[in-house]
Amino acid sequence: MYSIVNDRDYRLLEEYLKEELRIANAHLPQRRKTLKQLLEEDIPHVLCRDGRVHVFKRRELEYLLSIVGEDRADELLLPILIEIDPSFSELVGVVKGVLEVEVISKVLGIRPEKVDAMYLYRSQLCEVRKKLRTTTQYVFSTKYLLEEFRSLKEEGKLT
Amino acid sequence: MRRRLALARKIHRILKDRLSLLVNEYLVHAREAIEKRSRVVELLAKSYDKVSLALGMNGLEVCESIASILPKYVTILVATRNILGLSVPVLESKVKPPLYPLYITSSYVDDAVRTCRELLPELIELAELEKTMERLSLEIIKMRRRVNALEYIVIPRIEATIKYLRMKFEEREREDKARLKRIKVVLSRRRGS
Repeated sequence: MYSIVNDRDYRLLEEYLKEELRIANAHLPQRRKTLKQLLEEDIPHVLCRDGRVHVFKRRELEYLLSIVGEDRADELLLPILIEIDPSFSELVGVVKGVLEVEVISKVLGIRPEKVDAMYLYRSQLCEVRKKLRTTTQYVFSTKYLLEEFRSLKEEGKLT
Repeated sequence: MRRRLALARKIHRILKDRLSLLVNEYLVHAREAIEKRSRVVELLAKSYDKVSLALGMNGLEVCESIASILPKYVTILVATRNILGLSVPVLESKVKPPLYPLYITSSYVDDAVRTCRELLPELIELAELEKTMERLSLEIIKMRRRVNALEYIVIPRIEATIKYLRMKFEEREREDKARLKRIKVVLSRRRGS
């Protein structure tokens, strides 16, 4: 196959790619709330960066409360973020934070290798998402995206 | 051009990861929906039996009057949640125990009401799951198209362009070399004569 992509194609492609980078993490909350705060709300929710509302299931919040206990309910920030790093060769999620790791390890019934970080493989991701459908959220590695943003900005292609 | 290729490859990787996460989500929801559906079918069969018994024992009029009271005791919260940028519904139901005059009903009606109270939250959860699956499947189709466009059209085209340009540059280099050799020969001939 042989073809030259013309300037118009490139412009379109770059616009599209820039947009993809922009929206990769648009579903994340503007500000996370603690478990205690959410339990006190009538409709537990957070606002996402794209302006949409993400509502938590009370049943899941109560399940998390049973794991962390009332004394640490004001320390756990929700939703728990599962970081996806595209630089890994396969789909791997990383959970960071001592309390977050403790919660996820209890949900999965396994002992974590590190106290402050835990790697989750595909089957474990499925299990976590099944049990904590609204209280966990995927996030694409910011380090990876920032690299792209920085290089695009340096080239003056992103404002 | 190489920079563009690297960018396209990285975006392809992100989209591919997003696609596999969406497929993961779909499978999680599908498994749960299958379980939920069999539970709903079981409860529906049970509640039909109970309701038909109640209808037989207390008559249509009493059962309809009880049924008209019930919606007051059911509240459904309709909201949204986000899965990788895709907005899907969240339905939360609260079914309080209904208050109705016990002197006009029999235990069959109570049984029917109890079974329906059990059925309703399950039915609502099933609706939520199935709607989520529908939205996820549409998003998966869209995402797959984008991934395929990058994988089979955009990236190969950029690669082909890079290859073509490299070939052209190499050709020009070879031509330059041949020209220089020729000039050298001509100059040496002139010097000799």
